[in-house]
Amino acid sequence: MTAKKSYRELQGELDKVLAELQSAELDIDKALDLYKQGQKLIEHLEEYLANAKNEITELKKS
Amino acid sequence: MEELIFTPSDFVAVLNQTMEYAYPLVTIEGELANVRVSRGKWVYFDIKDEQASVKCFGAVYMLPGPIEEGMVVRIVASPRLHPLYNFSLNIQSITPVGEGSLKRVADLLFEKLSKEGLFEPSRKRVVPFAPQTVGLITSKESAAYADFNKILNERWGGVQIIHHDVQVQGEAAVGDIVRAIDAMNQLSSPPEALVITRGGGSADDLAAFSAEQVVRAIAASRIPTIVAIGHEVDLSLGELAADLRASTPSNAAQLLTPDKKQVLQTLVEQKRGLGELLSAQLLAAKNQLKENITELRHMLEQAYFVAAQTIARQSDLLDALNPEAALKRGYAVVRVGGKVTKFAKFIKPGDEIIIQMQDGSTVATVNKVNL
Repeated sequence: MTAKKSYRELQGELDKVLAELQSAELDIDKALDLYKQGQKLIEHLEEYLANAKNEITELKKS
Repeated sequence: MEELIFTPSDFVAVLNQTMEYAYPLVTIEGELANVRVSRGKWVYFDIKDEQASVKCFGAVYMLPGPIEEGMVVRIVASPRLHPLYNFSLNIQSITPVGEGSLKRVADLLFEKLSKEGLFEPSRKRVVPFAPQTVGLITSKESAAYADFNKILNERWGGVQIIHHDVQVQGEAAVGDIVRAIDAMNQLSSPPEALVITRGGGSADDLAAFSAEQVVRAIAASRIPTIVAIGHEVDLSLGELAADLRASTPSNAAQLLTPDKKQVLQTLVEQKRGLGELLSAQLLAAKNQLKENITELRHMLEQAYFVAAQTIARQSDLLDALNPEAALKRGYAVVRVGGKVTKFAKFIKPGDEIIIQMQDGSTVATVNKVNL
């Protein structure tokens, strides 16, 4: 599920989590939840950077 | 031997067959003269040197751009004798030769396409950063291909590269590149960005990247384009028409993707930031709690104060209503037969009354009643 998301999507979600966590009037349960989400997203992003490979396909052979 | 007599038609046919057999295609280099374009579709010109001049005919779309007299060009053509309009060379391709001609063609084309607005900055689109799919148009044998992929692999991962092999110079280059751009655009799921690249080279080598068809195809691409030509002095028109220009194939990979190492560093910072944000939220919650407690205490004090005031007021009232207070002021209570009486009319002479004062009472007998 999460593993299939693109780097940009994951990064977008992390940005959102960080922004939300900065907002005032956040209840503490929600803040803890966001913190856990953020940690998980960062793990995924690090994993992506460590493992993702580029692939080349040929559209037409010469 | 019998003399061979042709009809004009037969002669033309035989001559064409002979020429087709001997010279299906000829390559001629010479100077242009008498250039004429008909209905925006056909072009007629002569190719000449000091001694000879040959008529040529072709389609406008084959031109590298606007051409003019005096330019040196190389043409690939098939010789034909037309039944009515005499001999001409049917152009298959035409390319300017030598820096002077190339520059002149590029200048004229630049002028023409500028007027059409092809190079307008407002046409430039943002090329997606860190795309998931990239179309790569270059020669598979080239250093550009190797460099682009090497740098991309060093910097970033998870990119699907759709490569279309093309000739980047020579006769086939223009057609190859235009077809490749079209093919990429026609894919059912086209790549997010298109990189058209090659290494550096001489002005002749790079000519395809300034050819009108290529420049138009780049400008018309629905996929945002990066054109990267290695280490050159003058910009090609293809680069000017692209959404983004990179200085080398490696630079194209750099412009397209973030550097993994830097991103990892950012992630470390974001991880720290995440912890700090949580701490800040916890601190804010604690402060909020403290404020709530203080507020509660205030409210409690206020309630006490109000209650105390009320009690004091009621106590005063009670004092005022206390009959003993009246006795202290000098009033007395009169009782007849144990009952308090407020009226003299209920008392008769001879009655025994009790008069209560603040410190005690006295029993008296009534002598007289005044009403």
